Amino acid sequence: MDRQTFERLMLEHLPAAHRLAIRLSGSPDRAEELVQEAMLRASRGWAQFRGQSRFTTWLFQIVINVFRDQLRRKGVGEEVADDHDLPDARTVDPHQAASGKELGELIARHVSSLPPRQREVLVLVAFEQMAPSQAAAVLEISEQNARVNLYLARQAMKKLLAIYLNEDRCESK
Amino acid sequence: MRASDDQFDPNDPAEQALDRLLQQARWHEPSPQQKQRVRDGWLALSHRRRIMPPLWTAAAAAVVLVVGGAATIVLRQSPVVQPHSEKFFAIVTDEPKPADLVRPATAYEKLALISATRTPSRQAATPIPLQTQPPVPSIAQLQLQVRNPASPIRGTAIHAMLKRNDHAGMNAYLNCLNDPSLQDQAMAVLVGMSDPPREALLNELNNPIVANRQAAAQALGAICNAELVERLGEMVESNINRREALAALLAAKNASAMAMLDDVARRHAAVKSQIQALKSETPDITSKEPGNGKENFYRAADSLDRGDGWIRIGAGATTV
Repeated sequence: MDRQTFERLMLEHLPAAHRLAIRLSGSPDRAEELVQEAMLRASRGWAQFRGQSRFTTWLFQIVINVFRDQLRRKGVGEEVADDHDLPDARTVDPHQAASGKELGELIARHVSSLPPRQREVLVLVAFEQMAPSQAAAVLEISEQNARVNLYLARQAMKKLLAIYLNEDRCESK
Repeated sequence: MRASDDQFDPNDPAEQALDRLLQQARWHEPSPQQKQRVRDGWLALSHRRRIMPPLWTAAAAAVVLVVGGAATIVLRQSPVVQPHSEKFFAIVTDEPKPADLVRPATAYEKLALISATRTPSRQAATPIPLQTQPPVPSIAQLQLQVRNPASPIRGTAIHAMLKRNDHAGMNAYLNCLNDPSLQDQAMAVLVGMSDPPREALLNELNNPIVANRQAAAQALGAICNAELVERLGEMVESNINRREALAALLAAKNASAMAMLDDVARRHAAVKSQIQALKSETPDITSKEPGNGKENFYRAADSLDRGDGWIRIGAGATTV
């Protein structure tokens, strides 16, 4: 692939990378930093993309690596701080939350506060519509590992959103 | 965990309910300015890359310069080059050698002779008169004064940065605000100004560096008057740097700013949640960690401009 094609592909896939960065970091500001750093790494290592995998897979790999580096650099302090700001799902009135259109944001914040590996798998599978095997390729882990993390992430989300899940099931019955 | 435990049944009602809930997840969308900045960042990076010489060209040029420089040194220092040596001429002139030992001079030897016998043709360069001090100090000079803790004109230098009323001056000033050792003084200088550069600071709400945007919001909060509250309110309404405008209003903490925030929060649910998020993550500019992704990006882009060592090698060679 020549440089021009690569630059065009990058431009096309930037919104997807930005969206993934927001889902992983939970903050537009941090996502912007993340995607800028990813762009820089992609620009330096574009020759490594040999077209064997999809461009999205390659770009998402870079975004996720930057995300992990960022977490390592900043430590877990910031993550915990964000966690404290989350309203407790058990004390929020589900009707009020739903009517206030805040449920969506609450779920998003819960997803973005999961342990990093579980968050990565859940975001890729549930929100980027990837199969566990594809997610495993992006994360450079085994498919089994990806499935285990997906399972753990879903279990964690079930606990966090238990009250809404009960509501939902009652309504569907 | 057993292998069977890590599988979830997609037909399980509980799993389906969770999927339905997950589909409702809603993250904050990036602002149009953020999208534009990311796009511009990539375009700038591509452009810089394009105008850079390819790596192999740079490497070849460096090799040529190094070899050229080394050859010059060898030619000048070679002991072979002794044109006034009587012994050298004696061998050639007095005692004719057998024909098989006489050979024409090689190109290398000719060059050596020419360079050794050449008289300096260039005259000593006339010294260039020193440029007179510009009336307005440069940003670098101001930064030098500000970074020097012993400088008696630190405050004046910060004031001069603000007085420039341009992007470079503002950027330097915002860097001071992000420096814990300078922050208080920088804020005091701004607050003490009779006519602070509000317009220039408003422009900095779109600064490509996150920490500088946040610092600009804090600075605007410190000098927020009724007119500025109106301007920030308009920015929030029209979604121009909304997050930063909200941060500035939050930092203002005066009655009109609070009233403006209450008003927009009442009318727009999205803005309300953004205000709540900002309250929880409003930056404390004293706790800024150096070297975030954006800064790294621009630093690296600048290093691309410098040529990533290519120029350094070349310059070293030309000084030989």
